[in-house]
Amino acid sequence: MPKPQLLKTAALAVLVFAVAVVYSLTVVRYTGEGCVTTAEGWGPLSVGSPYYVSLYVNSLIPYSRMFCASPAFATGGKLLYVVRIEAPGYAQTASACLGEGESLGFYPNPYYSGYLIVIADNKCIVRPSYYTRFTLSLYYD
Amino acid sequence: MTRQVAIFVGVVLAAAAVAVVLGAGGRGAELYLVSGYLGPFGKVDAALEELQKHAVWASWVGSVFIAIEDGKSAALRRLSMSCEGRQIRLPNGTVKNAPCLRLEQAGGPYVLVYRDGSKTLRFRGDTLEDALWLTLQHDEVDEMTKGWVETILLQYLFDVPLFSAAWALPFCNGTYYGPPPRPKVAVDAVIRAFIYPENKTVKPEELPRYVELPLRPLGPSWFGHYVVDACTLDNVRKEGVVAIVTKDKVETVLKTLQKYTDMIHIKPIK
Repeated sequence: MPKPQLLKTAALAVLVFAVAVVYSLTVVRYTGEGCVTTAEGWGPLSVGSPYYVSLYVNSLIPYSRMFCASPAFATGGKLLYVVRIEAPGYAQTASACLGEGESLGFYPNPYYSGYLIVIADNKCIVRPSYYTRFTLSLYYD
Repeated sequence: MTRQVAIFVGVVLAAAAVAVVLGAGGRGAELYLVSGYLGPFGKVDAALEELQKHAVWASWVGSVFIAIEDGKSAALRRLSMSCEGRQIRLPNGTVKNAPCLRLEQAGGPYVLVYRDGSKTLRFRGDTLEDALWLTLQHDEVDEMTKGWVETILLQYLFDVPLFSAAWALPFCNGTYYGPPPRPKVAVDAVIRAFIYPENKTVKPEELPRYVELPLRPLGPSWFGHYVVDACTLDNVRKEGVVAIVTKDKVETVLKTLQKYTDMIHIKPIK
């Protein structure tokens, strides 16, 4: 096969592989919600080896008192969301302060995967409490 | 084109976009910020193409992370949190009170106190690191608390900053909205590490890499979000769309976006 033809075939093969990876992904979703006064945990979820994990904040409602007792007048704010996948002796964690409509995600190392936990800490823009709802998406190939 | 000319053209384009938005608002139109999260494998370009037909302004958006506090101080602050109201929500739907670890003495020595129901354990160390390792080595500390401690230990040992998410938008003119003065920005905020409590060893495999960007600070936030110019970073993933729409188009835009995702956020803007 001439060299340009070979390169074209190789490029096509790479493209087909990439497309196959993108379009063969299966998504499993979990929704978490609850009041966060200091810290709140969700899990542990047995997740196997996802190709990609993301957390999206659907809603984050600030309260002016502890335990989500009295809605605050001002909207906005952020919570620290920690997404952690652990296996014995190995940990992979993505964390950031997120507000409504914001997200974080990562590609877990498939060789060291197992249980997932989400922790929300009230330590970004401190208010007495927040009610949160988030969507966890696990993509599998 | 020189850098100055490029910046000038960028500023003019941004001013034109603002003028269009304000013009629409000035005629009595109520404006809404609509965002949709499709994830890195979603059909972002297709959604954006459809959205642009109905929006005053629309763009793709990615997620990046701005360092807002150094790692050591963030770790100390997180360990000093009150234990009040901590809960764990299990996958079967039940909710239980979470065990809690709290730093009750910082320095000479460091004392961490673990409480789980009626059980109380104290871990004393000459350094915070020592006290954290003692916690990880103890059989009676629950696994979720150990996971939390490992995360904090890594943040403390490698001074991994506390990050806040920012929208990466392709303004391509050096735009930045967020804490002043110049942001330290990471495209990924993931930490991977092997942890061996038995011999107090950590082998980090990946830590967040961030760069300080010479951007133009334009304000504390853009409609409630930190924003970093996506054109100044490599490897930003297109994960969603953002649009400014007039009130009469909100319904249409919502229906359009619902073909691609159900993670949609709408809010009125001034």
